[in-house]
Amino acid sequence: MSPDLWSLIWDILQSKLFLELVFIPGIAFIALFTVIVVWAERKILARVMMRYGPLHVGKVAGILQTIADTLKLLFKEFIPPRRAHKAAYYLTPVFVASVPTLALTAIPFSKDWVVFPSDLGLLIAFAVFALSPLLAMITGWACNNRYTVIGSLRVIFQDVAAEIPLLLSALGVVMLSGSFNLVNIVESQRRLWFAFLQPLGALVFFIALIGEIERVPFDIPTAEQELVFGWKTEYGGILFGLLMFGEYITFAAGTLLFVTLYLGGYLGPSFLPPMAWILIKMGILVFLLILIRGAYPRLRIDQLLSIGWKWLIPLAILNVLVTMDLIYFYPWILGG
Amino acid sequence: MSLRKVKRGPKVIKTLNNLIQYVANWARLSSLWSVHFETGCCCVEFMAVSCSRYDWERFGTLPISSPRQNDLLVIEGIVSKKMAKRVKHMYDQLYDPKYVIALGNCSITGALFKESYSIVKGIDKVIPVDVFVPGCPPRPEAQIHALRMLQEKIRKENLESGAIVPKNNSESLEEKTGQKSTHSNKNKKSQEK
Amino acid sequence: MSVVVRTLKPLCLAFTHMFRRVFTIKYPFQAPVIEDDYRGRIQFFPERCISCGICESVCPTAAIKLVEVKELEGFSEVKKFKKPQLDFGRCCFCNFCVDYCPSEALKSTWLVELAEYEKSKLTYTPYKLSKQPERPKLLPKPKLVKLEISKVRGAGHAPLKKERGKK
Ligand code: SF4
Ligand code: SF4
Ligand code: SF4
Repeated sequence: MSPDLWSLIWDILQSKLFLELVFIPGIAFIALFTVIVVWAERKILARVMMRYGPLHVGKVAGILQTIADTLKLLFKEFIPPRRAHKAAYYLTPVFVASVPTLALTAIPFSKDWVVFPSDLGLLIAFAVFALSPLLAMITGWACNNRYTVIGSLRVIFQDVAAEIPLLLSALGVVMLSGSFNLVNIVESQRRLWFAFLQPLGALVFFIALIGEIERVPFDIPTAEQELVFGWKTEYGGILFGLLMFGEYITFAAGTLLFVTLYLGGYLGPSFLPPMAWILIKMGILVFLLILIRGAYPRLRIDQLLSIGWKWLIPLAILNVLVTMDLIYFYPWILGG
Repeated sequence: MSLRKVKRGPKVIKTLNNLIQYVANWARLSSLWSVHFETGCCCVEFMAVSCSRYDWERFGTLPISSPRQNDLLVIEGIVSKKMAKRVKHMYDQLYDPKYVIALGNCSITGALFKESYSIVKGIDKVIPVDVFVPGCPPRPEAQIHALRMLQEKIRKENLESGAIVPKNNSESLEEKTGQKSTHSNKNKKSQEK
Repeated sequence: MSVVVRTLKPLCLAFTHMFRRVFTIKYPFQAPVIEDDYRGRIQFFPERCISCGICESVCPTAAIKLVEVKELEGFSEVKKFKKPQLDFGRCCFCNFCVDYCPSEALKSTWLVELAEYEKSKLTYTPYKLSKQPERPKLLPKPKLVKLEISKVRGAGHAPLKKERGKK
């Protein structure tokens, strides 16, 4: 090989895009996040119930549990149901696992560490979030099973109830920072985090986010006691693993978005690098969401709809109005 | 789904095959997800073993609700003839590799209800069973012991004697169980009325 | 306001439970104390048995059957008598046979780990029934623990020095 090729490879290896795609927020970050969070979720839920959780796999605290699960799913067979749409059955898990990663490209991990810097970064993240229920619907329809179809219909209901307050409450942030660019949004929180400036908007966004990423208490589409496993019922083997992988990437993207919008993103005292701060904040939020899973029972679909339409949307609109008033009458709140 | 056995060929391929099989067996035995499929009163003790006091999630089991993602079917107690069809159906829904534990004497022989007209006397007439756990109902300790026996069985499954497992070890297992530990060898007999 | 308190209370409860003492017994390494009169595996003392057959007729599940003892099976001196053979695949551990046996030739022990890979292995011949039960090889020697409930630290277990109740 010529030295030119070597230098080219060396340049590619050193380039920022390569680092971003491979480490943060790329493949390594996503895989590590999934492995650690699945393990931590089982451990924390077990501790809430005063038991050990995974303990004997991998000698120390069951640390190899997720890896064993993944390997087992790899070595397991999967059969499409007889009347399923074969192409959709095989392809949708791949998309479910890969589409939410696009939301991570818009998140700034430090001032100049964004995979896809754009003036409309917030809209990109929301567009990706809006895609995932469509994929869930196709998945449920492709399996041609009554439980999956009911599950995918519930995804649509839930999405309408959660997506609108999500967008409306994010509008307050956009008005305060005057930009859709996520880096600008983070930079305008240098004085005060938006969570303190708009507690109402943050609360509405948080609740709507739990509904959007389908976690307990809003995991209605996969309700295990009513529908067998919701729209994931017919999947086994590594296809099921891909579906769970997609779920946890959505989880990561959702928490990162909340941190970026309301908790000051990568900002923090300078003794740690900005990337560490965003990861620490994200870890705390992930812990809180897991604890919520341990504490609350699941709501019914009609309860979720009434919460979404009767409480979250009016509160989000109220939040927008209050923010407008603040900006009009007290412009010094923006920091001049 | 077992890896194809290599009959002839260089020892390297045999060793590699064994290595992959060993890893697969380790992964299978340390994440035996099971469904809570109640057939009789033994399910109360099965709940006890899944709860805080004995907590068999320590060994990597996970209660999961869809049969598609399951590896372990636990027959919890008495099976009536009407239920036996459902048990067979349920067993067919699981994807390979799948393992069965028969819990309680009712599922082994019909025990107390042996003279009843509506009871299947032995679930092994309907589906192949890996481990039989006597007791009425079996204590959680007995169930955890059965799980460890099943894990020990899976650990040696489909391994050719050679590089990883010493030769006498796998032979002694076959002596002990009296059958080859692959699932294909088990005859599936459906219960006739 | 009460809505907020009611909503946040389970979350706080879950958080405080994380730091409570763990309730689980790590079973193969720790074992709970089983009562001395727990009805587990049945132990047979062949030299006391008078072959009366009461245990066979009293057993509700027909698990006990009197069989001819052959010389090969270890009791050469009492070969002309019938001895009980017990099918643990049937026995419901009611202990009727132990209670009714006139010469106390049957006793129940604490052993519960009777699982087998094969159904036929569950039928215990008189000779197998008379052997002292051993701990299965898969299980390491456990530490014994006993239940302990305190108002401060919650329910848990404490180690116990006493040997497991042997009979
Ligand atoms: S073995 Fe005993 S506890 Fe189990 S199902 Fe039968 S009667 Fe019930
Ligand atoms: S074990 Fe007891 S009851 Fe049974 S035959 Fe012997 S002496 Fe009689
Ligand atoms: S304990 Fe009861 S069921 Fe078991 S052998 Fe004795 S009498 Fe029969």
